[in-house]
Formats: sequence, C-alpha cells, structure tokens
Amino acid sequence: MAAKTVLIVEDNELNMKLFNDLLVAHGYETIQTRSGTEALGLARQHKPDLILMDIQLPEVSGLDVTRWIKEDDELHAIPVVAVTAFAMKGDEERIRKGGCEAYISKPISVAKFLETIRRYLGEYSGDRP
Amino acid sequence: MAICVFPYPVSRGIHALLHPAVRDEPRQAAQHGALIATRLIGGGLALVAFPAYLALMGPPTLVGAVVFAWLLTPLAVAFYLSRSGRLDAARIASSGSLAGLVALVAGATGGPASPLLVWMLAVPAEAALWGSRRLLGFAVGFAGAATAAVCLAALAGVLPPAPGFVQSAWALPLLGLVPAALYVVAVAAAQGAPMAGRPADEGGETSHRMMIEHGPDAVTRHRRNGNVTYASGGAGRCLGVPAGELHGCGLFNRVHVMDRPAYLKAIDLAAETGEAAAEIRLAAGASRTQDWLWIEMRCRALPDAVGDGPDVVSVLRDITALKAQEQAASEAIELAERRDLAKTRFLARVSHELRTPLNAIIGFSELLSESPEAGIEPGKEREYAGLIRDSGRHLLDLINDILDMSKLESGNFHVLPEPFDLAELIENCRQLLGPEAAAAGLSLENDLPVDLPPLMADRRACKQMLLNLLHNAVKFSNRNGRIVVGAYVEGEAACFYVADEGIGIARDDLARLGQPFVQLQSNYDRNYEGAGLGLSVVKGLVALHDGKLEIDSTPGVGTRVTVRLPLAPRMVPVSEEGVETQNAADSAAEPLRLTA
Repeated sequence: MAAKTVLIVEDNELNMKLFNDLLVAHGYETIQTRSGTEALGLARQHKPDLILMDIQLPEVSGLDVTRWIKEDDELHAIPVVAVTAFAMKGDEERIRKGGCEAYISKPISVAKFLETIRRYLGEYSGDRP
Repeated sequence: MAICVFPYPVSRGIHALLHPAVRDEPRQAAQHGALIATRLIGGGLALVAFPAYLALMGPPTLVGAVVFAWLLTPLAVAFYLSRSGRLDAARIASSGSLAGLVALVAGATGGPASPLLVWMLAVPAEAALWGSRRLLGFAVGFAGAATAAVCLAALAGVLPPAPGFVQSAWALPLLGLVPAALYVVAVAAAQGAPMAGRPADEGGETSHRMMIEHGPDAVTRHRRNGNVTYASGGAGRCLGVPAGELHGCGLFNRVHVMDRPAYLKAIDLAAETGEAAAEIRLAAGASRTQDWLWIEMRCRALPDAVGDGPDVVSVLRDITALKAQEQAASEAIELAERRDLAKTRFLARVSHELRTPLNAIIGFSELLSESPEAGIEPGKEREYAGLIRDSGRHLLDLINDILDMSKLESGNFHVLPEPFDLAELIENCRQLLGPEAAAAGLSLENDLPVDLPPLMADRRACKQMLLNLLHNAVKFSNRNGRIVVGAYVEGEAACFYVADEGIGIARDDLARLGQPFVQLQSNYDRNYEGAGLGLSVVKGLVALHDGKLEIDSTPGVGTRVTVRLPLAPRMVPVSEEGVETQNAADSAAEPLRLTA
C-alpha cells in the first residue's frame, strides 16, 4: 500500500518541523505550506489523504481555507484536522462548525495526535465517523 | 402681609412702588408697603380736601396755607421711601411730619386747649407699632417738642384766637380722640403683624399667589399653545433671568430646538388628559447661548374656567446634576465592559501565544523521550534539543514583555536617567537584531550623525524601545526590504527612529495602536504572531521619559516610528538604591525580569 499523504498548513517554523518529523517518522508522506492561499492549490495538485490545518495564518485564516476545501467538489471529502493554539472556551465548537472534522489543541500530545491522524486516515477498521 | 389688607389692584400698585431691593422680601415689602400706603392716603386726602376748603372758607389764611402745605409732607415721605428704600429714615421723617402737622393745627385751634392736640398721642402710638425703641424715642421727642412749641407759642401770645367750635362739648371726642384712635388702628391694620400676631390672610387667595410667587418652586402657567401667562419668581431664579422674561414666547425661545416638540407635546397632552411630563433642555442666563440646563417639566391642566380650553400649570425642576450622574454612571459601565472585553481578549491572546512555543517544546521533548520506538534518525536529537531551547527563549521573551507591560501599567517601572552614548546603543541593537533581519532577507542599516550629544535617559529603557521597534520592523517587513535605524537632535529633543518598507498601518488603525495587548486584527486571520505588547511597552517607556512617540505609516509603503526624548529631562531624584544600581549590569537594574 502506498504511503498516505498529509498536507500540513502551519506558519510557525518549529511547529511545522515537529509535525513533519512526527509524520515522516511514522511512515507518512508530507506536503508543507505556510500559506493558506497556497494550501488550496497544493490540495488540488496532490489530493492529499488528510489536511492538518493551523487556524491563525498569514493573509487568510485556516477556517477560510477549510471552507474553500469543503465547497470544492473534488476536495470536500478530504478530512481536515485543525491543530491550533486557540484553546479558549468556545474555540473548539467554532472551529468544528467551520467545517473541520477534528480539533487538536496545542500543545499536542504526540500519542493523541497520531491516534487522531490514524483514525481519519481510516487506519482503524470500523472506526471512521 | 400688610398690603394684603388692600384690594388686589391697590396692593399690586403699591408693590410696584416698592424699592426694588425689598420687592422679593415679603417681610420688608410689607413694612415698606404699609408706610407708603398710609402716607399716600393721608397726603391724598389733603389734596382732595383742599378744593373743598377753598370753596367753603375762601382764600386761606397764612396759617391755613402752611397747614395745607404741611399736609403734603406724607407724600414726600412715601416718595422718599419708594426711591431710597430707607425705612427707618422714612419712619422718623413720618413721625416728625405728623407731630408738626398736629402742632400747626392745634396752634390754629386754641393752642394747648385745642381738642386736636390729642392727636399728638398718635405720634408715639404709631412709632410703638414699628417695634423699635430708637424710632419710639424719636417719636416721643418730636411729640414733646411740638407740644412744647404750641405751649410756648400760646404763652408768647402769638396764636390766633380759637374758633368757636373748639369750645363745644363734642369737639374733643369728635375731632380729637376718636379720629386719632381710628388713625392708630388703621395704621396698625396696615402694619399687620405686630398686633394680630399672625397674618390675617394666611388662607386667602392672594396669600396663595404670594406663596407661589415667592416660594422655592419654579412654577409657570401656559396657554395650550405653550405661551406663558405667568412665571413665578422661582422660575426666574431657576433660569437666572427676571421671571417676566419668560412670559409669552420667552420660555419657548429658551427651549433647546431639539426639545421643542417634547415641550409643546407635554403641554398639549396635559391640557387634553390632565397630566404630562417631559425632560427638556433650557438655556439659562442672559445670553441665550449660555449653559444648557436639563429641566424636568411636570404639567397639569387647570380647571377650564372660561371654556376655551384649560390652561396648564407646570413645575420645573433642574435635573442637570442628575443627568450628569446618569451620564457618568453609564460611561463608567461602558468603560468597565470595554476593559472586561479587553481582558478576555488579552487572556485568549496570551493563551495562544504561550501555547505556540509550548507545542514545540512539549512535542519535541516527547519525540526525544520516545526516540527508539519512533524511529528518529540518528543525530536528530541534537537538533531537537536546539529547537526546544529556541522555543524556550521565545517563551521567555514573551513572559518578559508581559511582565514589563504589567509593571508599566501598575506604575512600578522606575526610570533611572544617566548620560550615555545613543549612537553606540543604536549600533549595539542593530547588531543584536542583525541575524534575525538577515534570516528574513532584510537589510538593516543605521543613519547616525557624527556629533550626537550624550542622551540623559534610562539606558535600559531606551535599549528595550529600540529592540522592540526593530523587532516589529523585522516582523512586519516583506522579504528583501530595508530597515533603517537612526538618530538626530531636533530643538530640545533627542530623536531616534526605526523606518521600514513593510506592510504599513491604515490611518484608522493608528489610533488604536499601542494599546496594551492589542494587535490590529483581532480574528483568526491575524497576520503576525505576537501579543501586540512590543509597541505598548515602547509607548509606556516613552511616557515615563516625558517623551513623544510618533508613528507615520502608509499601508503597503512602510512605517516610521520616531521616539522624541527631552535632551535635558526633569531630573527624577535618584534613590540610594538607584545610585547603587546605576553602574551595575543591565540585569541588576531589572529585578523583576527573568533572564535565561
């Protein structure tokens, strides 16, 4: 089976490196971008299996990019997992309402992070929502 | 009260004769009114009697002419009192006038034996009613002197022979005792109070009118169209103008243009339904552009006596202070709500900013601790440790900014001015930020004159201002941009500036900039990391130096932030502690600051 591809949208350099190294170490292929506007083009081009979405981004917010993806006929089936430092009351609800399938708050727990990724990539049988 | 014994038109006429100083003082007005009224009646009767005397007795004798002339002196007394307002002097003159009159008449009618000499008793009797020993003394003196003069004249034999009628038995009671007694009673009635103890007309209509006229309330009476037909003294006092100025359209013209519909509606509504109220602004004082007072106007319809629609009476109450309190209270609530919102936003921001580096710290350290299973490439450990250190330092910077800001906000940031070389400090800061700028592909240049004088300021604070400004310039610049940091002297100020070719700031946003914990965009699409603390700290430090912060910015073109500090600042007395720390290392002067 070919390695699953994850598109990482994250503007903080260190966090990008963390997510990238974690995924690569667990056998995933990654595509990286710091920019929300670039993310849509990359998604169309590579058709990733999953998108990790930071919410606070330069120029456009991760919620805007998520909306574009969910409105796109070709892309709307790709699960979008929000990974964000917005962790105040109401943030999770707002982000899920914005179209993200899952929400992970920073700082992440590595185990929970990997588990969420696996679940949305259908790697747990019968576990898909 | 005294003038109340006269019919209303008369009392109003007398009221008009009162000296202006006493018109609004009920007690004095009564006393003045009583004297003026009785003198006018006495003098008036003499004027009326003169033609009759001429007709009956023919041309007057010399004594008769003098008597008539003397009979007019009360008019002079009334005139004097009306013009001067000096009651005691008028009363003394009045006593003298009466004593002289009695002496003249008695002299003409038999001297000491004249029945008219009994009138001499009326002089002290009237003075006794005035309730002043001094006045009574004058009256007794005048009466005694006049009586003595009559007796002396009789002894000297200069008096004319007594006419026949004075010998008759009825002369004494009819010409002397009875009219003199009546005179005293009339004067007492006019005087009012001392004999009666209480005003006679306490419950009467004129008294009610007087209560309204002189009472504390501002009362007005309106036609249904709003025209004022009566305004009480209180209404005039309330607006600081004579009450008469409010008559007709006078009051309406003082109503704020915006409130005129409410004013007219309240009066109309009261006329229709019996009661209404309005809150309106009225111009107070002589010039109509003066202070606006907030007035509560409560209106009630009066019984419709004439049948052409009821008049409306209204009571005006100055509620300006109340309105000001309401305003202050609502402003305070608004401010508290705004602060509460700012605090919530700040917490969200700080939470976000702390979680971002913490994510790298926790994530990489978890990765390190699980390295065998996670299959981390050999040699990555060192790199991850370095990343954890970088994130830790970023976190520390952030916490220091927050501490600085909270010290500034609570007034615990102490400035220790010392002379130092600004150019050297700027070059030092430029080198510190050099790597960061280079990593972002920016050129960082300085622009320093050769002859920059030493600056008297807190060196550490200046360093922090420069670093924060440079940091912002790097953060908000586009790749390949140019940043210039420089200094110059202008007038009495030393200026340093940081200019970039970055994204710039929109005009509307400039005002909000530098408020604690506010970065311009408040939503998820905020372009840049940071709690928005850097510029707030600069602003606070500049203020501590009595300096000025200037921001010139054009969106898309760039931003130039200039700090102006006084060359010779007002010297803050330096404490013992301050002297000790002045020469110490930077870290020693910042006890609250955490250091890596």
